[in-house]
Amino acid sequence: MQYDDKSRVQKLKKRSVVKPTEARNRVELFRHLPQYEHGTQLPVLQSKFFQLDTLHPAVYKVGLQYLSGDICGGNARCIAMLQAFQEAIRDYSTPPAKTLSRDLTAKISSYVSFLIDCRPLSVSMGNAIRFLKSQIAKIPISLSESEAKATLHSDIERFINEKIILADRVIVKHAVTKIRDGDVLLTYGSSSAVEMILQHAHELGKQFRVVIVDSRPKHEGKLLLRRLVRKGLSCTYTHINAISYIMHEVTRVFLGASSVLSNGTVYSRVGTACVAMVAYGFHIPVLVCCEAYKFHERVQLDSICSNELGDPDSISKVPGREDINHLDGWDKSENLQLLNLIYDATPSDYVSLIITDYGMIPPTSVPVIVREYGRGQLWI
Amino acid sequence: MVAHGRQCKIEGSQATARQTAELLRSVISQQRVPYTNQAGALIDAVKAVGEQLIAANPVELAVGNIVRRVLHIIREEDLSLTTAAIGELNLSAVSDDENDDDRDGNTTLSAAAVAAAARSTLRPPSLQTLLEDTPVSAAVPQTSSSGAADKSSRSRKLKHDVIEAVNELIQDIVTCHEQIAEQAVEHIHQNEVILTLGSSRTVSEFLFAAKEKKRSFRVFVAEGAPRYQGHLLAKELVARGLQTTLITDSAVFAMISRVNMVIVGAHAVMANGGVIAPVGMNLVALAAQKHAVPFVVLAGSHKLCPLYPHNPEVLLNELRSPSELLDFGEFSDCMDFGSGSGSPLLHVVNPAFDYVPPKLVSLFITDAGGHNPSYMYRLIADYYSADDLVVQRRAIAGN
Repeated sequence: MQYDDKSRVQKLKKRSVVKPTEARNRVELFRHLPQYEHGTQLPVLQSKFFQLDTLHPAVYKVGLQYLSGDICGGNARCIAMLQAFQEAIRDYSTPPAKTLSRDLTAKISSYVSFLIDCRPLSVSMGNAIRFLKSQIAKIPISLSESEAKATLHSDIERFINEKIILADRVIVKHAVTKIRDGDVLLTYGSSSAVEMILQHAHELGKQFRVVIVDSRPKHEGKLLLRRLVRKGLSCTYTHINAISYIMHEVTRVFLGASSVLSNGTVYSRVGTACVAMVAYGFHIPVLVCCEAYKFHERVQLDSICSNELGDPDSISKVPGREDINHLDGWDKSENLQLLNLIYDATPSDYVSLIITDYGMIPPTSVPVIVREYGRGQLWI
Repeated sequence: MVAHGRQCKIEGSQATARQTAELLRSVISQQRVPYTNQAGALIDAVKAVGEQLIAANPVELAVGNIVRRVLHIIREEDLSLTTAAIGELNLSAVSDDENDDDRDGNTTLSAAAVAAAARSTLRPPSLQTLLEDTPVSAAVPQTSSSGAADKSSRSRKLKHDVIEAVNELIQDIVTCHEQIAEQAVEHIHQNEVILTLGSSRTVSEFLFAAKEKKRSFRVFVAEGAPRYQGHLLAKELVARGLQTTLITDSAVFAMISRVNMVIVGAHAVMANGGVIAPVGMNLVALAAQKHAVPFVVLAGSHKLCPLYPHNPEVLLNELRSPSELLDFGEFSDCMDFGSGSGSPLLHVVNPAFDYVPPKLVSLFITDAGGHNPSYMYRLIADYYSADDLVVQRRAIAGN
């Protein structure tokens, strides 16, 4: 991430398809991260559809879905991307005088840079791409093109199945043992793993209540709330400022994660750190549910060195409250900046347990898993 | 004013405090006081009105604070008058031998009155008073020897003194922001980064004062959902030329590692040094403690409440309308009360206030200077009397 280096930014702009415009009123602390004007990219991209012959339509479609926010969440984004790559590989044909592995790797790299332009990669997507590239590199030269493509197709299928779908089932099986009758469970935002856990526990007949904590500007908790109330779970909904009030009643906290880093830090939706901190203050166990393919060897101490910046306009406007319009025309004053962080880093001392498909581990065991079930063995 | 209080029409502790003080001043000036026991009559009148005001809006603690301050003023003024009278009595006793006729000109009190004044709880207890079993109201017994003219002049003097003191109180309430803002330069240095949540007039005046003195600093404002008053504060700060960044409340933990100081306002300060503040403040205080960032609370002295917070999250809190969080139309299809036990599956919780325990607060800055949270209980002795903690009219003796 070196968006404060002008020469690199120039190079990136030349290569990119999307051609984003830089945001005005950039926050100084985050100069090293890309800050772009939202809203201008989607119509430009839509109009260019027939001109982009280098890009496979499935990848293009997924990129558009990321840009508009239709696909959200680590697992969903990863699966959508891998399925798009599967289609692209199926339609791929090696040009003459080129080897399949090198050419295909270059093509995948170009797709990836397009997706990065639409929205920066999540850690899950990054790990999946590394897996795919390593599988492509391992293809023996002797294999024919159709056999190679079939191998890759089945590799991707296996990855999705083992690392995401089956992993989720194992996590749910472990996690429901931690839910007892009479529990009040708190969750933040909308995590696919936590939602599955709650639904499964309810199907097993356990009696518990759910507290859903939500925050601006995405209000992801509302979607989770709707799905859980439909299934018949008893839910309480509140916003993040009120967690000190509601934490008195809570017995367990379940959180999702975008990634867990090697120093035990949980990298997740912004606000997770606040929830974990208050729960720790009230001596309530915090359980993080994360598939093992999302672990990463990188380390991070705070939420500023590496993050993603979202659309600042979604902060200045409050949907449904037209009376809150004090910040109309905020970009005209040079003294005002709006900061819309997407992720934050929760220190490992706040986390009691991480539930993965390798079992229930403390945060200190994450580098062990990254290394022992290292990249070579992890993908077998 | 009671009707207004019930509908919470008056916003802000300062405005409420001022209105309460003005109302009590008019009550006192209109009250007819008997010749004897003027202080008791005034106290009863103020307590009667005060009870109604407090009952109308129990969460607005500033009302109760001002009622108690006025009661304390009445007791103090009465005490100082009787002390002056006792002083004159001693003088007149000395000069008794010389001039018996001068007696009429002096305010005279019987020995019983002197003893009663000594028993007044405003004085530190002596061995005599500790063992006596007296009613707590400062009832000064009949002064049979005083002339009619003396009595009326004394009663007028008491009312006059009390009204003067209440005027001073109103003046203090009105100027509390300036006095707090004067201390701004002592606490803000160059190139500081300050975090605040929501909007407080005290905080904005504080920051403007520092800006006037040419300190350059940056401010992170957390928006303070669901009222979003942080947007207002950000707009004001930008208009004054301060570098401001608006963040969501969820990003407080992420940003606080880069902040030098947290400055916030309060709704009320309790006797143990705990703070009743807009919702979300406990989050900020915990994050500040974790990162060793000083947490400074600005509060005018009319916000200091002599009560101890028992279960403040429930008893001193207000739950606001859920429509601020969830649109009913959005979720009406999920709220099917016809199924199962018929009890609602969906609850929405929207508290208005948060309690911050005293161990998380580094410093209180009031119009009387800066204090530690452990010192706040001493200020209570300055401003309030122990008799007035429960503002209720006493039952008539003989029941």
